[in-house]
Amino acid sequence: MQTNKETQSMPLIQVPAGKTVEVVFIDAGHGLKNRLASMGVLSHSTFKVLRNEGAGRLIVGIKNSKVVIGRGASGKIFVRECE
Amino acid sequence: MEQKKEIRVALAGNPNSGKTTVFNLLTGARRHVGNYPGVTVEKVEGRRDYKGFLLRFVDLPGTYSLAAYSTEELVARHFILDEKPDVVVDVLDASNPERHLYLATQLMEMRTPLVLAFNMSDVAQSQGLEFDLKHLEGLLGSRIVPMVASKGKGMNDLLDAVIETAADKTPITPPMHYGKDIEAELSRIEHLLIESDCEVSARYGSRWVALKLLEGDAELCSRVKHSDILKVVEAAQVRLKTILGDSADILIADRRYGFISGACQEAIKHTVLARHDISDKVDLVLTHRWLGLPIFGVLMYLVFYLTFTLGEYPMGWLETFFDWLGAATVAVWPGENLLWLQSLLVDGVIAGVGGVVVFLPNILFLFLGIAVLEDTGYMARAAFIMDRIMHKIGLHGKSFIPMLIGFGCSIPAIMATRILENRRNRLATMLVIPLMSCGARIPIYALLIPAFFPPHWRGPVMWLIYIIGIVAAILCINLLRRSLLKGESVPFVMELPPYRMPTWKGLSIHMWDRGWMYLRKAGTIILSLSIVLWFLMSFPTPPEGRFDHLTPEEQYAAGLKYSIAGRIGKAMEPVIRPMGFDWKIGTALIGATMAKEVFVTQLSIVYSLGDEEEDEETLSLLRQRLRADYSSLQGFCIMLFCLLSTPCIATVAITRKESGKWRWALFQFFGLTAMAYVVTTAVFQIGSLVQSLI
Ligand SMILES: Nc1nc2c(ncn2[C@@H]2O[C@H](COP(=O)(O)OP(=O)(O)O)[C@@H](O)[C@H]2O)c(=O)[nH]1
Repeated sequence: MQTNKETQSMPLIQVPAGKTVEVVFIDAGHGLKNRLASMGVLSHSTFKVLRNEGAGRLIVGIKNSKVVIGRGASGKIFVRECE
Repeated sequence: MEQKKEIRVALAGNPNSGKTTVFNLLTGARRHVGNYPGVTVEKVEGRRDYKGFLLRFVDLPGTYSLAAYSTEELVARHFILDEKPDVVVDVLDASNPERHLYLATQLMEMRTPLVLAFNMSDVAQSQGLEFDLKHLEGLLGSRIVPMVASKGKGMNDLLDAVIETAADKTPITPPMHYGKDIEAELSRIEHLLIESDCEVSARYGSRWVALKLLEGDAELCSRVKHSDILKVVEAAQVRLKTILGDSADILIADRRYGFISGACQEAIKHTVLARHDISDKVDLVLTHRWLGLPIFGVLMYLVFYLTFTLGEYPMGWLETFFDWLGAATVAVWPGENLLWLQSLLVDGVIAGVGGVVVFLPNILFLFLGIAVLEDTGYMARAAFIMDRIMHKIGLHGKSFIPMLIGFGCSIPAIMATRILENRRNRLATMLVIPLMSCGARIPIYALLIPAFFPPHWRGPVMWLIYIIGIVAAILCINLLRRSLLKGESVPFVMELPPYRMPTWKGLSIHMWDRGWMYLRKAGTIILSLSIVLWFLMSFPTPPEGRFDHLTPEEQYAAGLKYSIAGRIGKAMEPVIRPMGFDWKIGTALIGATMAKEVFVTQLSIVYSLGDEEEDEETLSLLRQRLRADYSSLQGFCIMLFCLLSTPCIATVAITRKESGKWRWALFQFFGLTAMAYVVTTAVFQIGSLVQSLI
């Protein structure tokens, strides 16, 4: 099941601005996972990528707020594009 | 007289929920700023009389969760658990309930009597959110009070709700449910906790402790000593992972959001589709790849302009006042009695206190500027923009702001490190700030550069000095982040708060809190250290009549040479000679630890030119003498040493205050001095070698 998930998903860092995505899984330690969760970013949550400059820093719109996800975090969040 | 009933209230909430505004509204002018014991987190307390009750408020640090992954979260959690406030008020942004209620669910888990302040109701309304408050109160098991704190609306309702909640005998918070798999594990752990008489669970409630253990909460796991319990917890975590496919802490977080979104769907209606067009458009410009940086530059320039240009006038008045106070003290002094006391008062106390107070206007203006940038929501954007550059040297985007301020003065710069959330980041920034060449060092360069360098070299040398400071700061940070302050650099995850109009009241409170803190804490330390320095430079006094044949200026110089400071300077000579310095420079450097610009004054005393440093004639005379005594290389080395070495006393005091430990202040003091010594020695020795070869 895990492998199936992984083939369908891509790291958030690769998602261009304007796309809405759903989190498939987050490959990080407890600290980062919890910090992201407290911002509303965890498995199954969906959000829109508002800005991606390609340097690993993104701004995403989630639950009516904007969150900056820096390099180091954006490579560890694996997402699937929503239609 | 009848004793008023006291209710202790803690204010919790996410950053940017308007918590500070609510707190100020509730407590008015009666507030007390301090620190939580042992940590640098600011603790603000205040109180209010209301309907025969005395309400005591504590403002907890703003956090997104209570998972205890940061100092702030730990502080907030421990306050609620250990101090057991009668009521916790969770301030949340009603326009964004789904995210802000996450913290509330964690407070519910702690079974603390809870009131939910739905702040920003105006924004929520304009975005078309309609709340069925009665229903939502039932679902969440807590009183809800809609508020618009910035307009003072809803305050009395909140106070009433607090009093009612405090009077409730039965806890009304229903326990959250996490689904049957998690619940099964929870009750297993809970059972074990009760059976084994675990002290921690008796104190905090077995269900909560079980939940935290299952979440893998590092702090609680270390406090529950029973290894058999921890084994059971581990097994439970493994089971949940195989059944549900994620780690227990995330599963539990997921359930919390599930609970919230269920409640919101039932009790909140969206009448219009939520939009924040304007904010999005502004962000498009302010965080733009190319435009963002210049805009940030202009805004920072404005803050500086405000700080160091407008601040100059009141600073001048204060200087004049303290000069007058010193002169007046001398004038009214009764005769020739107790001259040492007069000197202590004038040269020690008044000069010392004055040296602290004159910076106050700068600090107030600076923090006003920063408060505007913060309260409007711009600061988070600035951090985003600067992060592109700053992460290369191992710091977050926000570190840039204090470092920039450091070019003006280290003291407000070190205080400004408060905007950094991560402690290691903050300490690293704080420790290197003195390397940003501050304004007080300019008089030193202004004296020495014209003395030793021909006109066309002056600009480049000045520039070189500043660049050396910046490069040294970057190298030191890299070194610190790799050694003492190692540890996971928390990946950059940060909320961009919506743009908001700041209120005057909020701004002025920010400004005064900082200003007052500076005066009170730094003032006491600086005062005592100034007295010590005064003592070093005044005692022992030369024997009566020994220097009578000299001019008054020469007497002054001889007196200084005779004093402890002069003797230390002399004794230091062998040590500082490798850098090309002699005892005169040494003595002046001791004075420079009081405030960098004192170096110039000291040097002119040593050269028996009196202490009229402003006088252009004296200055050029001093330059002549310096040129006669030292080479350009030595001159450069003096500047280099002044740049890199010992920050002034005020900086040491403020580092001690802001880092919470003498350890860091001393480390900064000695670390920088050692570095300066090594670098200056190397430059002087290599320079001399090269000179002798050509
Ligand atoms: N529109 C609106 N703005 C508010 C309200 N309460 C606070 N603000 C503004 O929100 C900004 C942030 O408030 P502050 O209290 O500093 O937030 P904190 O980070 O939670 O302490 C400030 O500019 C306040 O003036 C409110 O109820 N409505």
